[in-house]
Amino acid sequence: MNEEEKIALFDAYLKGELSGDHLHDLEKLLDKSEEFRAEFEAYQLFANQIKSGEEYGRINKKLRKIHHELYTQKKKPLLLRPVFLTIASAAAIITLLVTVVPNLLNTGSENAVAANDYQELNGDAEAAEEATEIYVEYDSIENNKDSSDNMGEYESEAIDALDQSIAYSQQKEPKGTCFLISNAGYFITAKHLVKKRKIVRIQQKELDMAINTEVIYRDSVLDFAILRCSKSKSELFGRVPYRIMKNDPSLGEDVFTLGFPKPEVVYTKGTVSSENGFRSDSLTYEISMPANKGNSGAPLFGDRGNLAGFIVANNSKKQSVTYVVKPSYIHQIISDIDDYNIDLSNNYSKTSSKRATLIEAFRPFVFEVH
Amino acid sequence: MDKQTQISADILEKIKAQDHKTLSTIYKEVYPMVQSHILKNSGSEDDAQDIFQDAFYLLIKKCQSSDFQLTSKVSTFLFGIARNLWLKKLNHKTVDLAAYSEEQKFNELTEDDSHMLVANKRMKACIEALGEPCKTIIVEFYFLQTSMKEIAEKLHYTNANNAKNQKYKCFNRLKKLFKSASE
Repeated sequence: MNEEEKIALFDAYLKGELSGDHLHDLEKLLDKSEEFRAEFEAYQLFANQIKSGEEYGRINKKLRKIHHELYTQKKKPLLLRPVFLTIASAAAIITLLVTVVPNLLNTGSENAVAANDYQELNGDAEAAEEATEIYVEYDSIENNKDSSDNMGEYESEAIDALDQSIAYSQQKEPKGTCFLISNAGYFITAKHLVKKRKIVRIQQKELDMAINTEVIYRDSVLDFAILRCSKSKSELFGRVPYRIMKNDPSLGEDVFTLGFPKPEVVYTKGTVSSENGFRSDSLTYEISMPANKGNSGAPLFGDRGNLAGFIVANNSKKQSVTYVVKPSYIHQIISDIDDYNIDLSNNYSKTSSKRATLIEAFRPFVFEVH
Repeated sequence: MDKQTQISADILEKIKAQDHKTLSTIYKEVYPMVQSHILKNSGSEDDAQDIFQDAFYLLIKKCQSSDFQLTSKVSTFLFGIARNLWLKKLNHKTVDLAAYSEEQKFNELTEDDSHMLVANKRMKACIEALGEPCKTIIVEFYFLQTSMKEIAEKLHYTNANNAKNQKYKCFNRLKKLFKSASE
């Protein structure tokens, strides 16, 4: 009898579907073999655990609904909504003007050509030339969100989605990568992967997880976003085995990444090749490492359990030139975010002279972005 | 049975049945006390909501057991559990407990209760994290006790055997996830 047949038999027995000889045989086996009996009891225990876990979830949902009924403000009258929307779109247009015009003024033709070399590493290859435009879109959503001031509604919508169960896909190509930065349930990824979405689906095959996350932060300068999962799910994560580097890595330092250019985790190593990034951007730096679509948002690690940044783009004209957001900038952003408590105090630095050991420790914390 | 005992027995019956109105009334009465207590003791509103809802869950579970008898008012009891849960959480966070002096006055929360709560919360999170179709299959089979045949129909499997095989895979994923979450 293999494992699967055994469980089928246990199920039938527990549901009272066995009779006659089958029942007799099973009971005899349970009586005779201590090992078999122990297996049965372990199964029964786990089945009961599933049941009471689900019951907890259902009661909790009921109580949260009551809480919501008692304490959440009623939605604003519908008549007000169009006004908010108009203000929001006006703000968006203003931002659009403000953002685009300086770009047009400052960027000489030489730079405009150069901009085409900058290639984001997501699934859509055509995104490259549209980089500026995409940022404008982001700004406008942020403005929408702030000026319409019905955050309560926004949040409860998001929270519902976070609790929702979603499809777990074995084969689908991931758009990119994200990674856990705090076991309070916060992830870092590249902004171009999440685009305008409020909710982003991520999954982790090591942990057998497929969960929804909420986009809680989109950086206005860099291709940088922060995601958050529900609190109950964050309790499934262990301590994050890396800390964000205090100082940016130096030239020549060895780094490596774990990312999802295909539906399986891929390891790539590289070397810090320049202290500043594309067009000498001082918030990013350059590494010599091949990166493919899907590597966007992937964490970059130094040798001593340290996070050396994350990958945002490569240079489409030069081989193996990849751009990375500096750890000092990540630090700055995380400490600047007031609305959420991105607690890094549980993080620790896993150290080992063997890279394989580090990879083993880090990989459960790197997720596919879908 | 005197009148007072009769009333509390009725309430327990209604809590056990998870009667919406009863739960809502108790919620409205007790939650503000719990919230102000937790806010005063270095917690947030979110903490208060989580702790209170877990305490309420434990109350409902207690009502389900036949030998449970309430020795105080429902509100006192519920507040007591919430208070103890919060204390446990503070302990866990290793916050300075000097400010939180009169701890163990309420003893409604046993070690077993809090272990059960932790395990159930974790299990629920794991079930959710499985994603579809596993979540539905697991909940239907283990919680709602739906037969494999019905599950197969519901989820459009060609036959019960395919559904059974899928359920086995989901079960193993859940087992693995729960194990790694418990470490």
